[in-house]
Amino acid sequence: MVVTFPHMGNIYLAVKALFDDLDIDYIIPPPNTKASLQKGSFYSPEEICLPFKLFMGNIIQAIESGADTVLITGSCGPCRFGEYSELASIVLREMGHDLDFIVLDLSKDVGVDGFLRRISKITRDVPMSRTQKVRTVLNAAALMAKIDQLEARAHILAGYEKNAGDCKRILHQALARGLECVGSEEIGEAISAAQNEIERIPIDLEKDPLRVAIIGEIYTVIEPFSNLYIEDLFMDYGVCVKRHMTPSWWLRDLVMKPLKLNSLDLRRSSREYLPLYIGGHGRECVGEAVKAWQEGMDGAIQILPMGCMPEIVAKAILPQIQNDKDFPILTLIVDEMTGREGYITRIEAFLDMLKKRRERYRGGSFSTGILSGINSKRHGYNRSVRKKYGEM
Amino acid sequence: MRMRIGIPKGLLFPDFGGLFESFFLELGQDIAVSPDTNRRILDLGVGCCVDEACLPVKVFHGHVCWLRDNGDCDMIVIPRFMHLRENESICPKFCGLPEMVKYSVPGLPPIIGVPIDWSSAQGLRAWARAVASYLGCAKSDAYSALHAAVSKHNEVAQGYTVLSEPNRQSSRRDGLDGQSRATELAAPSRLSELTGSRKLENLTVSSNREFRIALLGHPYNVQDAFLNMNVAQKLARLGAAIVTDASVSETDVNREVASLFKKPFWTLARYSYGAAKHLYRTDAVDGIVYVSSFACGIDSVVVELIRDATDGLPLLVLKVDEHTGEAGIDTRLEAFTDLLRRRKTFGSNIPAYGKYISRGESAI
Amino acid sequence: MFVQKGYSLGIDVGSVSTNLVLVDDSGNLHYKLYLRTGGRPIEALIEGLGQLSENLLPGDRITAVGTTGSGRRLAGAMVNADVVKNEITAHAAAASAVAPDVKTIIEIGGQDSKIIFLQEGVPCDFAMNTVCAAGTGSFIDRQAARLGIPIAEFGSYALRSDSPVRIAGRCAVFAESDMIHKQQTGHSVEDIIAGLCEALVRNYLNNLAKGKRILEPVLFQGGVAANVGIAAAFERLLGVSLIIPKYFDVMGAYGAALLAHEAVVANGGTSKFAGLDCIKQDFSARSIDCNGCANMCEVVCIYSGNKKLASWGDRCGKHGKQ
Repeated sequence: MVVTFPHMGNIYLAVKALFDDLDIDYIIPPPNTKASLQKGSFYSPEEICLPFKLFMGNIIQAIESGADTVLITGSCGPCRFGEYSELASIVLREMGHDLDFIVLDLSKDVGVDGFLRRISKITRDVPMSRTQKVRTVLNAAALMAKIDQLEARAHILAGYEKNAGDCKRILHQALARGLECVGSEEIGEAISAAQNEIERIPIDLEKDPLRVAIIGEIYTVIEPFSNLYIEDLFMDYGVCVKRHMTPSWWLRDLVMKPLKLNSLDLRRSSREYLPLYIGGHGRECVGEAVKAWQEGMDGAIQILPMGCMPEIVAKAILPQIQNDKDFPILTLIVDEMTGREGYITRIEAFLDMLKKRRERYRGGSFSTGILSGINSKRHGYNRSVRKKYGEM
Repeated sequence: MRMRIGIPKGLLFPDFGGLFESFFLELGQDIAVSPDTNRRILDLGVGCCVDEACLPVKVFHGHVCWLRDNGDCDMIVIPRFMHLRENESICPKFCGLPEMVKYSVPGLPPIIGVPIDWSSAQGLRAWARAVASYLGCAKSDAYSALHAAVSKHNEVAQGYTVLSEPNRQSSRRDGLDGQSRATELAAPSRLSELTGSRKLENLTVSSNREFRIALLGHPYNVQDAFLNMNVAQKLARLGAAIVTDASVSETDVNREVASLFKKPFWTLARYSYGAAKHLYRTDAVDGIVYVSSFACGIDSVVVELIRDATDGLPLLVLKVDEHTGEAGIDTRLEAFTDLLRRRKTFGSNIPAYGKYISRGESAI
Repeated sequence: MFVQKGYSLGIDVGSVSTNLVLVDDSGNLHYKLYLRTGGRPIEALIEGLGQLSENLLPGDRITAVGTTGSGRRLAGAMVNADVVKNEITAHAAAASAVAPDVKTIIEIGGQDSKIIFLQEGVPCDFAMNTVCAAGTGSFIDRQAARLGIPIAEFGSYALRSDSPVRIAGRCAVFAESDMIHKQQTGHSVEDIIAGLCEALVRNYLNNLAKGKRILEPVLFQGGVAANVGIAAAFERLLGVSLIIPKYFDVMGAYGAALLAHEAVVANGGTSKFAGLDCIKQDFSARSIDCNGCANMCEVVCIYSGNKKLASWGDRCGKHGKQ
């Protein structure tokens, strides 16, 4: 049995650590590229969402290198993600591949027993005690959390770094080094080293970078290829980025959901606008937008794949939040046709807009120059914004 | 206080509108219902609904706009169907529909967006209770109004019936035994022939037809003749007898979906798929016309599942959205029926282009 | 002695047109040039700069340069611009210079369209068309050509219609096929053109302005603002009157010039401009597949002779900073 799994951000490192520790044969698909997307789209229904197309690309490439078992996570709708395994198995059968799908899911239908049974399909031949196996899984989860922390830290510090590019370099080097290591311990050390290194880079606290929240559909915010590396772009621009959705957040959410204790903060912040779960992460998206405003961020960017049902509901609600809270939100829709030029133009214009808003809020004069000579009136600005700026 | 409740005639209205009407009337309220979808309603909806949504949701927004402008309503009910069957759902947009409408349509009266769980009697009673307290009516009135509305609904509708004294256990048993729909709790049967699809029913009777076509898709796409540009009538004129998923029994659908790798969780898609597969396996139809709204996330999956389950059966996927030109629909339907005719004449060894047509609308 | 006069140069390299303007320190436009890009931005820019230098008087100096448009980086590398700005910001800057109290900007260019909302001269929201080219200048050009009508008269045909036909079209291809169908069913050209204008405006509003309040004053700029049929359709559907700036077709370049001036002043007054002689260099653009990492990014490199001026598009950082 050779197991493979689709990409989503840095998940591959934690899964690699897990399989290394369990001594299971696995293949990490090559990272998402235009070529893998092309391959995936070719075998996918035209109107399916972008994550599925990338997912197919990963699986097909892994099969070409010899994988025969696919490990994916699942859900029971109502978002399309729940049908990925069904659809993928049809497409792959038509292509002449016969693969085992192991769908990890903790929803009501499956239950904890079902979850463990499915995992045991992979782990039953591993010569370890049950306790050891559980510890291995927990180690991998802890590693994932560590990687997420490093990433989050790099995205914040990039706004303050004195030498442009420090954070980006350290982050990417750490990820590359992790891939060369074996087992959760070694990978964990590589990440720890980077964590130490990044805390020591020279920073300029006088800088007052823009702070932007990335919200939206979980795959497209986490997988950098699908959002055209928006976070790398922001590191280049020196803009602080905060993203609530991470693989470790997802894990926590999954585990806490049966107890109804998941994401209490987002439940609270979304209550005013969307008090119910609608599938996917539509409610979370709304909650994150409100939360970003509460935290005094300058703006938020919603990213969703074309046709994403839960995010379309969120997209209908976000303008109201934008108006009520005077909080700019930009929506970016991605699919395989997304042109880089237009995408970047929008992001740059959004950042320009946020900068100008700050100037205005701070009572500075904005002039489109020279000639108009319009000095904007001093604005009684949003209290929470002022408070947060004051703290920084 | 007597209030005027607006009921938009969109989405699942053909199946459930009657129940809402009688419930509110029984509660002593006034009601206002928007007219059948028309150009103006479509334009109103397209003008305010978020652009990425599918056509039926846009049309629903249009009905709400119409009620706002002409209904003189004190409140508008936006049904939030969470489940039609246990552990299944319809689509994320149904769960968030009241919010979508509320934040897209300006100048609305208060909205009744209480979640409806149709899969259990408790769920339904909870809905009635919450609505009544919202309107300032007594709980007991709510229950009796619900009781009356449900009995009336069951009398008329052959579709989503509810036992007047439902209880979960018996329903499970009935489900397993494959009893007739009428005794099942909340057993939905897709097109309720006596309400929304009366027109379709008339067309299906005529048995003396060249060929039989299964007309499938989400019921709100299949039933709304304006939205789908009268596809049923067009097909009938082209010589087809029309079969809908209502003609396939619950038991048959259950059997067909059992072969799937994963239990499907979209109730409406489950019926389309089950019916398509059953009609294919029993050789009951010559082809399938699937009405799909552009950008429907569910259809993008279900069409693939149906295609896979009905290999070789001609399948035409008709995409509709607010930009669809009628000429394009006519061309596709004509070509499709021509193809079926050729197959009848020359046997199912159809020329290569037939396969193409069966792969979707792209070829024609 | 000539009087020394300083100008800011604005360059907008779009996919359809390349525009250059010269703006003096008080924001007056002194020279404008509108050229077809024709898929060859380098040649178009060299041609434009050549024509521009012929029109400069002795003693005229260029004190700031800004570039914008989809070719902004290319142009920025060639002339060593002070500011390389996206076209949304540039258009907003230009519009609020022309009409300081502007609240809404409708901009329709050759390949894309946008809407920008402003509060007190500051952009507060914007949207750009997502997928399709219907409703943009090139689509209208093509339809005019297909109907055999000079593009300059296209709009006036629309004004002569009293019952516009309804044209369906999410995207250019469908709109065109529906138009052909309507033509074949015998509708007059006037009605079809009026219907097309209305469909494009309706699409634009549904696509970009949904749920937004369009407050006056509304500026209409970009090449399509010349089309009276489209302008009339906007006014009818919005119920507002549009302001069309005098230099509606070069507003992006104008904004770039203003932003460049601002940046140079903020930086102490010296421009980085490479000088008009830069057009004598042998510029070339090459795109290579970078093999720095597995992403195989497509990297664009701009050369002057054999010297690499700039490159972008890679993720690994091998080809210099983005």
